[in-house]
Amino acid sequence: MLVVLKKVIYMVVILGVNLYICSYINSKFTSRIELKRGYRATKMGGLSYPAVKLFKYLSKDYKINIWEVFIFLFSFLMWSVVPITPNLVLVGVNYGLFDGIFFYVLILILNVISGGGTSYNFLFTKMTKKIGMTLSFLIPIIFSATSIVLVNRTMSLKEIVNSQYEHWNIVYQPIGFLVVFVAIIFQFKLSGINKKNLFIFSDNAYKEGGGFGKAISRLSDYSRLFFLIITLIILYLGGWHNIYFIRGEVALILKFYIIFVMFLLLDKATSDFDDYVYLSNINWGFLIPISIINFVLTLGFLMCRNVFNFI
Amino acid sequence: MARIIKDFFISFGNIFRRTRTIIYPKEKMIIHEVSKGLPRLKLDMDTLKVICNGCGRCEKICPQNCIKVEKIIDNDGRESLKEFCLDLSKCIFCGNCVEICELGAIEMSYKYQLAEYNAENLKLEKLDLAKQADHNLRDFWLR
Repeated sequence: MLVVLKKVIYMVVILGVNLYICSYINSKFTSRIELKRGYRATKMGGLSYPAVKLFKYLSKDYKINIWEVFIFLFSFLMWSVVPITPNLVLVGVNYGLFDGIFFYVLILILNVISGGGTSYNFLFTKMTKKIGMTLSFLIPIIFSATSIVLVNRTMSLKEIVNSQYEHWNIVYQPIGFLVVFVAIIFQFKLSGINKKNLFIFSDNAYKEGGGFGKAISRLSDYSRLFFLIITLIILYLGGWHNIYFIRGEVALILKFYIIFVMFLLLDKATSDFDDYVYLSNINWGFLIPISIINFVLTLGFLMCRNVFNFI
Repeated sequence: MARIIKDFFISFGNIFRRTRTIIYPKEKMIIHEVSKGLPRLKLDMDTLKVICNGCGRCEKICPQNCIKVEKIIDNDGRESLKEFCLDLSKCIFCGNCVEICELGAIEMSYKYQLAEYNAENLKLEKLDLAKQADHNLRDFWLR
């Protein structure tokens, strides 16, 4: 029991620290990319800015929708199946990848239910459109993840990482990596992490200083994005394996922040994404066919090798 | 695709570029050479009197009707300026008064910090407008 509690505390601390750092990097980098000076909550380069912002949210009076609390809880519960290091996983399930995706979809559906409480129909329509688009970007991810499962012959995230001790999966599945990377970028864009949060649709949330509800919603958004980044690292980039002399944990942190910053830069480099035309061009016209081709090629190769012994 | 990659590197390069914003009261911003600040009445350097003769063209051309000019005629028959009032709360800094003046008696200074607590202070008279010579120079970037 104590071991589990210790692990829970470790994971919450790791998530909290990462939320703080990523929130800071987001505000600082976004302003620097726009050639602005950035936030100066204190003179130490605005290091206390995320804390000040959080307290600002907390001080406002706000009616919390119960679904927002559920979203918050599930976004943290999602981490119970994700292994951060070999020993730091709360629930060692054999179907970790499936569970992770299940939680992710559940959170998106909860967002729709949460948005149903709004009295503005246009907001609800806009939000369901965004979430529909986000869900459609899961299709290429699922195809690519299935290819990885075929290659590694397991659905356990821990075992997928362990099987990459020699070569990372990106070597075997470069197209799959590209597809998942692009799909995550667009999910990143759709969740509006750089702008006004597009997934909060309570009546008060759009008003200035949305209150505690906005804070927890923001945290769950970041948590969801961390999950996507960690999944990408686990599936394709070797997880916590050492890179030469760099320790595994440090390598994981480096990979995480490099990908996060790349997402921020690519978010600025691409135009706004709120139209079905882009969706059909990028997702239905490019990502899904490529991921299906990748899946069929992988399946064909494995069948030739293992069933018919051609290779 | 090529455009996205190009924009990606522009965004990346911006991280290392100098910022365009300043901490306003602490640092002064560089003012563009052709910027238009508070209008001022020019002085004749020999006599140290206002060049304006009160012809009233600027009053007529002003789109906001914020200029009021009164002239007097001396004993020797020369026209001269009696009073020149400018309501800064209405002025849009268009510079029409500068362009219409044949004597070149008005010019736009570089003074841009014009906020006042009291709206009455925005009504400037002849002497106030003649005293703006200090703001004839641009402020420089202080870092």
